[in-house]
Amino acid sequence: MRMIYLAFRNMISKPLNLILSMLLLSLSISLVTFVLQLSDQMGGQLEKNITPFDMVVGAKGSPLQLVLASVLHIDNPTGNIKLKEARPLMNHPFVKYAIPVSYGDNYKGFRILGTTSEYISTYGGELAEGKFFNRPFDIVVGAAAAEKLGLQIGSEVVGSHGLIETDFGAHDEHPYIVTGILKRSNTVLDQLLITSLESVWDSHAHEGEAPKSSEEEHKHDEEHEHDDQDHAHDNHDHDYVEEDADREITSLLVRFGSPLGMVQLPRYINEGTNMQSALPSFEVQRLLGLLGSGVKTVNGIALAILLVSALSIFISLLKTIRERKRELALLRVYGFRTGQLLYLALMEGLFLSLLGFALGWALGRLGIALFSSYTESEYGYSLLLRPPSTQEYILLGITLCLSIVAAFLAALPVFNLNVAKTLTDE
Amino acid sequence: MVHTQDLEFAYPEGALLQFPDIQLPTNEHLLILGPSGVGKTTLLYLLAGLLLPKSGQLRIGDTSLESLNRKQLDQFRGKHIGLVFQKYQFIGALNVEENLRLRQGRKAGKEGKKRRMALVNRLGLQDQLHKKVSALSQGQQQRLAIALGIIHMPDLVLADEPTANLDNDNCEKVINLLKEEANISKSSLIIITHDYRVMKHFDNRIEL
Repeated sequence: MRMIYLAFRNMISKPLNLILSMLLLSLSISLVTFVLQLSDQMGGQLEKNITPFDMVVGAKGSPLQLVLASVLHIDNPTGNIKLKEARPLMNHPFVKYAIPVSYGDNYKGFRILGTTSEYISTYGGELAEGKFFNRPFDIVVGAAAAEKLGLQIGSEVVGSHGLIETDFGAHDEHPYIVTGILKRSNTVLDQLLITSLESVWDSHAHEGEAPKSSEEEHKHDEEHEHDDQDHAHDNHDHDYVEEDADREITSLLVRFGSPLGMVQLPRYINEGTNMQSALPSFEVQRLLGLLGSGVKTVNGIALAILLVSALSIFISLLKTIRERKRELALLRVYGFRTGQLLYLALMEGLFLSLLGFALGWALGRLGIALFSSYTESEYGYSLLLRPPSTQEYILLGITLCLSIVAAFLAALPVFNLNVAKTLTDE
Repeated sequence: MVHTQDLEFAYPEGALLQFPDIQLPTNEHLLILGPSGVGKTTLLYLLAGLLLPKSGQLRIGDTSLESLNRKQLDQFRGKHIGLVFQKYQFIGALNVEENLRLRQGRKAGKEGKKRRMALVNRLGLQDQLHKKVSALSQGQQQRLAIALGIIHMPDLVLADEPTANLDNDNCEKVINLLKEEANISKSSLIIITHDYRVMKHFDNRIEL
């Protein structure tokens, strides 16, 4: 029989003891892994989603809100800006590309975004099936949204006002038709329903003119025709509806073509126009900085619990070694050496911490899975269940080292084990 | 098999204990009798190499115990000596069979299994193999203790007060079992006791 088997049997022979000393360890491990995963994935996803853009231009307000709303699609927009005002930026020499986005509607809680197909390509989005929108009220659906909403090519989608699902104010007259479904890209695309700017404008222009019902159909038809032409045009360059001086967009997402853009444009926009500019990377850094201090605090607490759990393993092992003193003496009678008894104690400590770590890790991942369903329904961001990260391997190393030290200290009495006396004592 | 000469032992704060010389040939049985407190158990531990004598010589088989270092002593004891304790000692986390396998060591193999099954059959423990030791009756624990003292076919079996707290019937049974099993595994047997009922079973006796 191997020592390792005996160590295992010893460990499970007192389940209550085992559970108690594992509980603390699991708790701290689950806390650390949960928080690490959360901050890692949140940070990673935010970074990924802001990469295509250097600057967002939108209505005045909080720059963080602007970034959250227009780039990350979490918050409400600060307001609208005139397309007319934004247009000079699109053709600015320092600008590599500038993509207008416009929204205000949702379908069952998923945002309907009016933009150009270029928006999809900046995120590397590809069609899983169907085609991109090129007629009014064509709509392309992100992978996660399609899955959640059960949308297929040809499905009709009726938007409701606002960004949050409500029971009223649906644009019944203008269903969107799903023409394409995107592949999963693990970016904001997954959660969006994307259509052309004109479609969004149309549905809203329409609403605004609701009282003039007689003209409604007429105007609408006109727009349809116009949009068809306009779209064909749109595929070649980005000259939007020229006649539409009053058109509004939510924001303009800008990529600089020259470093000078970063130096000059934000200041020019903030001081010289009615719009504001926000730098996504800066705002996200600020946000992560806030998150970071929270992460540090939780990690600090969790590490303190880890130390306490090492102490509890030490005490639990010390206790069992005292209780098993006679059995250890018996093993010496059987011819086992002191070193083997030490090995027995170390193995038991190691089992305990491995089991505790595994349990804690699983709990941490379970937490991520549960939290993911929350963030997904609330913010459209889902968290992935990832294999162990480098940081987690380091954590495992720390845990094992701590438990080996604890077990070693607890097992020190075996060196002074007086076999004859132990066996004689009642 | 066992040969001692001028064996002396002193506990740190205790008086000097002197033991009569022992000469025990291979496969013979010896009874060491004496009232409580004369150092019977101490002598047993000296013979088992669990205590080291202050002076004197102690040879088991061809091996002088005083010439062995700690590690060699552990190995020697594990292989050549079997102990039957007054107060039974088992590994609580293991079942009956596992306790026996642990005592047999890792190299026991198929022969070891045969030996184990034969032994538990003789001792009437064949149905208890997968029980926890704590689930055994007093009598079964007694028999398991004997099995653990002898399963690895030691050269020398040392039994410490094996009949204490037993009625006459059981006293007789235990002594007979010990003698039979010692004969089967060709072990020398030394029984240490203050129980004078055992006297009649042994021709070879030393009184302390």
